[in-house]
Amino acid sequence: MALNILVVDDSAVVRTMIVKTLRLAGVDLGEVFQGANGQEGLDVLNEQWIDLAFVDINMPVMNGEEMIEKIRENPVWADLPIVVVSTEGSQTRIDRLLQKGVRFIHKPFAPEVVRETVCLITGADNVTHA
Amino acid sequence: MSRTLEEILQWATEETFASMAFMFPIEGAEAGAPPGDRTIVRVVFRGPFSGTLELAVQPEMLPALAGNMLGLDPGQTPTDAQQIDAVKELANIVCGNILPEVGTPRDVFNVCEPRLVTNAQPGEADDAAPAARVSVCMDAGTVDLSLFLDADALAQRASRQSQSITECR
Repeated sequence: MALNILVVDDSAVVRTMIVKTLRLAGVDLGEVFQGANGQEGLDVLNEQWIDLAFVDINMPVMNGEEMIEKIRENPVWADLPIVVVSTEGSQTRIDRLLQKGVRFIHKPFAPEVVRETVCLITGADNVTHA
Repeated sequence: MSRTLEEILQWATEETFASMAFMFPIEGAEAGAPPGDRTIVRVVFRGPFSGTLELAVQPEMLPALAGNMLGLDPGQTPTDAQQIDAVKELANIVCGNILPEVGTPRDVFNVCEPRLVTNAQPGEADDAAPAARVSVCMDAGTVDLSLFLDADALAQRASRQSQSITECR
């Protein structure tokens, strides 16, 4: 089954990198949606069915932590698999995020890490072995 | 023994540019910033201590940086906006990676949005001398990093290093 993906990062270059990495990793992508901040991410979720979200933390307007809190509070989105892709280095903040049931990828990231993370979340059903 | 600020800057820059932009340091290249224009990005951070990370690159590096990050085909040129976005993101990543090393992994910082600086020279942020400065020679050009720290940061770091030396004894 192809995955509908949401990528939220204030850097358009990073959003493109993540999508490209997913394609190169052989992830079966359906529709790909993007947002430049947490609010834009929530707006997409209101309109579209999303299977997996990649979310940055430091963003203007609404940061990723607040966006994730709102997702977890909403019964429709509460179980959405979320991968935080961030430069965040504070173990205190990372622990707080992990308690919200997200996975964490640290920037700079290697493509294999993105692939392995998607495999863990989807059970590898959506990833073609290269 | 903890690393020096210069070693931390060097490590974070090399890791970030290699992983994100496929640019690698030239082994044995002569240290020191060559003269010429620079595109400068500054990232301000606030937390247990505050400061600014400044990343300056030779403008001719920008198309290759953005092109590599975006995975563009040869002959494709990234837009000006993509080039600036790319260098801002690299500064953001370097900053995020040095903070737990300069402070501790438990410290929580608020990192501001990277800012493109015009009409400035590298190493002149905050009207103060940088606490550390390195130039990393890459295959595509030179990257200059300057780290400005408030007095609290330097005092905390000196205290930790002195504790570490005492523990080693």
